[in-house]
Amino acid sequence: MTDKECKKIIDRAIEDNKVDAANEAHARTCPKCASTLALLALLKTSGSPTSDLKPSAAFLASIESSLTVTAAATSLKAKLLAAVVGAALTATIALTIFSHSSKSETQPGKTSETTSLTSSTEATSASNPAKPEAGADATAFPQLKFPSPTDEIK
Amino acid sequence: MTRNYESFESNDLIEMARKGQKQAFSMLVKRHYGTVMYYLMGFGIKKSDAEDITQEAFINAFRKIDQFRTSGSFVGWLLRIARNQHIDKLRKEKKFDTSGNEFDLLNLPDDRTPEAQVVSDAVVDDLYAGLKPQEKVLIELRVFQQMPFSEIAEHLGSSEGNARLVFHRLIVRLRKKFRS
Repeated sequence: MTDKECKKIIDRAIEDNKVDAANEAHARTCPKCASTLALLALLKTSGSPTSDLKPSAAFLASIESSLTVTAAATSLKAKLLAAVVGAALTATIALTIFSHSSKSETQPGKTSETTSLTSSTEATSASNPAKPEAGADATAFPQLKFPSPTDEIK
Repeated sequence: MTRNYESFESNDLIEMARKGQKQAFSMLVKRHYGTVMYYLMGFGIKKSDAEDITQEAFINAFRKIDQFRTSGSFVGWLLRIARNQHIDKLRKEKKFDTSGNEFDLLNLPDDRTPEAQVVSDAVVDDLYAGLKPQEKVLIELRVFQQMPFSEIAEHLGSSEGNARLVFHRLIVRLRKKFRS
């Protein structure tokens, strides 16, 4: 077996975290692979080479105090966001109610719209001064007076 | 009652940290402190500076823990944060070279003194003693985190082929030491 194939066996053993039957059979005949597999097993049992560096108590304390500040800031941010959203929602609702009520005040006839179709029509025509109702008091409107054609003959 | 967080799997600790359990996150800090430190030291950063960056990286990781997807590698995610933190620091100090900040695994300086090398080589039962920081990170990512070479290469700023080559050379070196 070539070196390349031996490397593949080692890679597979690392990725699968175990040696399958075929690789085990190969390792029995290949001293390099057998030695490497034994080395990997030893490394696994002895722990990571980076674990010799441990954080100091001061380092951990500093991290924990920073985490407290971070957690508090996050919770404050969430509360502030909730408050801002709440205030915006309240303001929008208040504005909608206010604009609706002010419209109702300027157009009193509109309030009867929901009662019935007949009363709505009446109210609309009553609120429209350009379209006087039949039989309404004509004197209420200004009348234009033109000279009669017979006046000139006289 | 205090919980024993040491027995928890990393994914469980991440879930607990998401719910705001600081002690669970502290356990993650304890577990991965060395990897982040060696990773940064592999860039030639002094230990004291690496510790400052590591601290910032962990605080950032806690802040962004909701963004982490458990399907990915937590260590990989941490290293990405640490690397970005390091780049930000360099940018602030105007030392960041945008033309390329490649982390060449093959040409990194060995900052150990010859005396230290002799001493560490003499300790045959201590396989890790003679390893450079980036080699320790490589072993951690490949053997302990079972990270694919493509991802390792991404973290180390190298090509996949280079990461694979360096790993297998390292294994050969360790194997020789192990045999002896």
